[in-house]
Amino acid sequence: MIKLKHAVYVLLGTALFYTGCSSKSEEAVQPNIANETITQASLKFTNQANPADTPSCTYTFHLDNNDNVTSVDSTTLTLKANSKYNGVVYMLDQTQTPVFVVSNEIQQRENYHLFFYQPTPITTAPVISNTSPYIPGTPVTPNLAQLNLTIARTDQDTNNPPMQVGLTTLFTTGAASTGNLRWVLRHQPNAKNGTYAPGSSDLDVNFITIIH
Amino acid sequence: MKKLIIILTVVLATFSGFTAKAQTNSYWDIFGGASVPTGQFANSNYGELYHENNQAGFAKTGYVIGLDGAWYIHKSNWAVAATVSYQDQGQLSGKDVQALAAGYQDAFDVDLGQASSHGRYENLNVLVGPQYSFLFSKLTLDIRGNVGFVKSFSTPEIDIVVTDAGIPHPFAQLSSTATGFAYGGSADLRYMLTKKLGIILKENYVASPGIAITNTSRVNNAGRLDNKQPVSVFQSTLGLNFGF
Repeated sequence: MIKLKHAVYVLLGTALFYTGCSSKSEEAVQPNIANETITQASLKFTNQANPADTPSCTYTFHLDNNDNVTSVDSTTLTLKANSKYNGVVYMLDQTQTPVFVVSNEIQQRENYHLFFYQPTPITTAPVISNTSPYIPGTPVTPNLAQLNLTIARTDQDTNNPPMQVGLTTLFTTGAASTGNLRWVLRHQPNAKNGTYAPGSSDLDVNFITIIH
Repeated sequence: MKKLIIILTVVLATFSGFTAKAQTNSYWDIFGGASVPTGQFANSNYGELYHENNQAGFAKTGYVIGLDGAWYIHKSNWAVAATVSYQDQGQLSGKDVQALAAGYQDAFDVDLGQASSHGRYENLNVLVGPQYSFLFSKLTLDIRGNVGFVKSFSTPEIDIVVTDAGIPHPFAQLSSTATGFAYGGSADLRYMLTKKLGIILKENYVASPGIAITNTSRVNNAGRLDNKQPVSVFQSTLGLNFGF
């Protein structure tokens, strides 16, 4: 019985000694690194009724040797009236050799990226939800003729539940009209919830848009 | 091959010979020693982008202390054995949190990744199982299979903040006090110093498919995400053995 007591004391003593050892905390900060650069962003379309009708628009950033933007240019998006177009995103980083396809990277990182597409002018405020591709806060101009274009995203990410991405889209045109298409890529690390607000913009460009 | 068969036959014959002469006595013992993590539990590699080691445990070599006993069935060489042990498998190192900060920064493609960790792996194993003993006068070899559970008292908490465009997005892997199924096996060598007192060298392996881990503020599926932490340790201990 004495042996048992001694053994238990030894065990308890050892346990107390070790559990008394304090647990320190460790902390690390990973230094800033440069994200990939988008030097060219394109939207490419195929008319559902006529596969030979493949309009596109491209926004190009011209950079100096220090990767500062020196100038930009964009092409006009021209779509046929009363048509449905399947759209795909194509983005490049031409500062890398070989040229890096950023849109492939976005696809791999789709769980925290979300594209928004906003036609303007608009005469009524669009319905904003977590499946809406439209940008909240876009000015409504009842006195101007609106751009007759509606947009829906057609792809989903692998979040649970899945959310839309916008690398592929369906553009539906109405009657002939002109305006602009604002195109935004939101980067929402651990914050993507289908809405525009969280995160920051990796891309925010405009295209003159003609529906004829 | 022939040699191996001859050696095995001789060893088994020797064991049987000794077993026939010696007598089994139920016992208990107290032990302590090193506990070495293995497999994913010991893995301290964050992994590659899109191929993260979700269950890398970053556990360290620590210590184990415990109580153990065996009760022989009708003076045969078979016994029912039980072990209760406490393990400490350390905490994340500075290098580990640096790897996590870099990994999450890359995974979320952000300007800044920050990681901090506190708390240790501390758990209790309770295992029971059959034991067979080979007796050689004062020396006994025990072979044992075990099943039971591992009760976690704590696991390291990992706090992450990914910051992009100056906007912080924090999330965390919390300390776990969950319980999980465990199994293992051991081989002991006991040497009796007196009729009732001896020393015991124990080599023990314990594994668990995993204890549940809770993560908070994980909004999107990206980066390392550990929902279940497998536990596996190899333990080498010395102890005092007491006969009943």
